[in-house]
Amino acid sequence: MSRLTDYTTLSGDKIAVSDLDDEERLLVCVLKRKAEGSQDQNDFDNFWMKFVSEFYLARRLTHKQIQQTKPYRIARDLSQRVSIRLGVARPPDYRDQLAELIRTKFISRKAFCAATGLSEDMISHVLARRKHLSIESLEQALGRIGYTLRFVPNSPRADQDQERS
Amino acid sequence: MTGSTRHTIKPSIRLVTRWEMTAITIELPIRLVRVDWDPRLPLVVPARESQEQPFWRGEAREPAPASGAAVRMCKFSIPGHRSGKISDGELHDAGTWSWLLDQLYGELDGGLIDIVCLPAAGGGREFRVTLSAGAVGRLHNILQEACERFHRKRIRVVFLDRFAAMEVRHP
Repeated sequence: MSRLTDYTTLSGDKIAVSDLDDEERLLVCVLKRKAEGSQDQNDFDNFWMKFVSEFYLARRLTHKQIQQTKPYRIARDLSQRVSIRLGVARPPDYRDQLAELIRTKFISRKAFCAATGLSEDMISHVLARRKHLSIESLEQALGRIGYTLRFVPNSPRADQDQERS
Repeated sequence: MTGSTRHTIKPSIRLVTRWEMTAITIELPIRLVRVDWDPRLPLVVPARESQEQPFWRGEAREPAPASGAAVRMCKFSIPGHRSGKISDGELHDAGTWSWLLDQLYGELDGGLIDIVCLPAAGGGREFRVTLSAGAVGRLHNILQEACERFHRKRIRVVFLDRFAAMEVRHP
């Protein structure tokens, strides 16, 4: 079996594969190979969901537990990469992350604005993708709620460059 | 007269106002055609790889509903772009599609029997979901949030095993 390196997701999170057993490693290899050659988003999604599901249902895991496994998270990320490569979805940007932050950490958009000091009008434009926030004001606003900006690698190539230097 | 049966068709059509349910239900009192199908079977032939002998040990068992539990088959489509009227009309980001799959797979846990993604018109996607009747409410909740995330006013769910539809609106 070819050497399996740690996986970096689109959002820059690293998924270590060293603790996976041989069958799980093979599962990840098959998923990666399938994703590379995939020319149809739906085909790939139908494939990986069934494949990963069958694999872990045989180990008596529930769907919720399966979602926590590394191969599921890798397959999920591969699905996103396939959709971006095929042009059927766009890569997420800071506005998507902002929308997710508001949705999950605040009761409302208004509450987020009150906490960050940003105007509701501005946030409305930003989330509707009509305007951008400057890096300075974004950094300031995020700082007020305990968050910060960071650069993350979004491809294995970036990881390799990092290791080389 | 062997082999022939006289059926009297008395369809009752009930239009429910949108204040009540936002749905149109057409009920046929008698079953005209008997279709022998197993709702747990996938709607589309799975990819070739999954038909091969799996390399792992053990037998995969889907969490089938308790025997006798009602099963529902439904489909809904989501266009490939956000609504141009209430949003910017851009492509959805990749994470939003993943979120939907996650929700259908995880939140319907125990209620989900099968899910198949198909291409839909205009670059959209159609989802065919087979689930236990008890999970329909959870599906409704998921799609209500999906309206917000996919920037859609409504998502229409068509039940394939009965003449019924459900419209989920942005909360």
